Amino acid sequence: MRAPTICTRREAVLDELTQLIEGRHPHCQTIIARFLRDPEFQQASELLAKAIEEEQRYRRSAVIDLPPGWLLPV
Amino acid sequence: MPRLEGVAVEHQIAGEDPRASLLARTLTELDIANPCDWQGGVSRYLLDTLERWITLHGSNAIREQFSLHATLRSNPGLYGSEDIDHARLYLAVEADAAGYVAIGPTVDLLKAVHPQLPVTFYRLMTGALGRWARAYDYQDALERVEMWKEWIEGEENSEQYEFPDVEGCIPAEMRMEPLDTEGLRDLTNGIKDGVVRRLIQGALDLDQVSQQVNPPQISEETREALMDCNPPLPTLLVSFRHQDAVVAAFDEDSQAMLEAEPEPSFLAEIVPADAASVRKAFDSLAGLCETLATASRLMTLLPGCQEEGHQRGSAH
Repeated sequence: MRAPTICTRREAVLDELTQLIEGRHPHCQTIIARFLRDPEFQQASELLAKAIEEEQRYRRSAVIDLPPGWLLPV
Repeated sequence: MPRLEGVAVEHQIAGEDPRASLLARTLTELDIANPCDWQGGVSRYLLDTLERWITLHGSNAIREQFSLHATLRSNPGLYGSEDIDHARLYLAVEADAAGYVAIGPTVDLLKAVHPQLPVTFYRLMTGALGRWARAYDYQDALERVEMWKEWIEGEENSEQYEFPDVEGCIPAEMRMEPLDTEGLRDLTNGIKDGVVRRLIQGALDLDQVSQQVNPPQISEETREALMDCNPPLPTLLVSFRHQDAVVAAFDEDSQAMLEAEPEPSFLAEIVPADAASVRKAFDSLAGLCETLATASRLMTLLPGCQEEGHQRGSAH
């Protein structure tokens, strides 16, 4: 197999950087990366955290099932 | 409180600022960044690019005499917590310690050739460096002593204070008028002494290199963000003799230099997606580096430099 030339390497790097900028890169698809990019995701997590905090005042500790895709706010 | 079994209670995030990715792409398009440095991480790529650029513009020579570091960051100051402009990044250079040179032996050598030569050489050297970075010299020391004297005016027992005698350590030749560039070139043509010729040529080269590119201009908004900062830390301390009054004033003055955050020695604003803005910032950085590298090479030629200078180490 031939090593990539500087030109093809340059194009590949530019393409990868463009994917990162546009959020299309695989690194951008992780749940944390989506959380970082998405203000609605952040807001929803914050609301949920506050709701859980409120619950603490009225109910005793209970184990509940993990909702799919759940992520604690940072 | 409800507990979610199996959910981590803390997440550590190593995210990339979108501005960093934009800057990396622009630097690659401008051929300032080398695609061979790309290993998949934007921060590493930017750091390698910065290091490569500084190496290209004289880092080895700079390290001989100066101690500085460069950063790309989202705030103009070191400790800013909130971005003042979400579309900008900043390229900053800060001094870790001041380089040091005692210029007295050079003054002695040059005055034997022509009485106006020492001041001409001195102004060329400090003027060229001063376009890009702060050099602390006898004029700073004089101002500082003047200020200290004003502070104690009217105090009882003011005679108990002692101040460095900066006026007394300035060689008489330094009070003369410098030669203009044409006069200096005429004089140089008649000089036989190889060391003196190299010194003058070195100072002329430094003057020229320092003017090849203009230092960056910063916006009013950035200027305001740095309003409460101290002046930049000096990149170079120039005294006449080892442990003279200029050094004494500097030592006293340096106690307060970090009381507030110092301004960066060099600061360029960058709009990461704008090629012209990125090119301008990196060209300015090249101008700073080449000026410092040329100054460093000149400093190694100064007579007595090894004995009189270089002994202070970290001066801040």
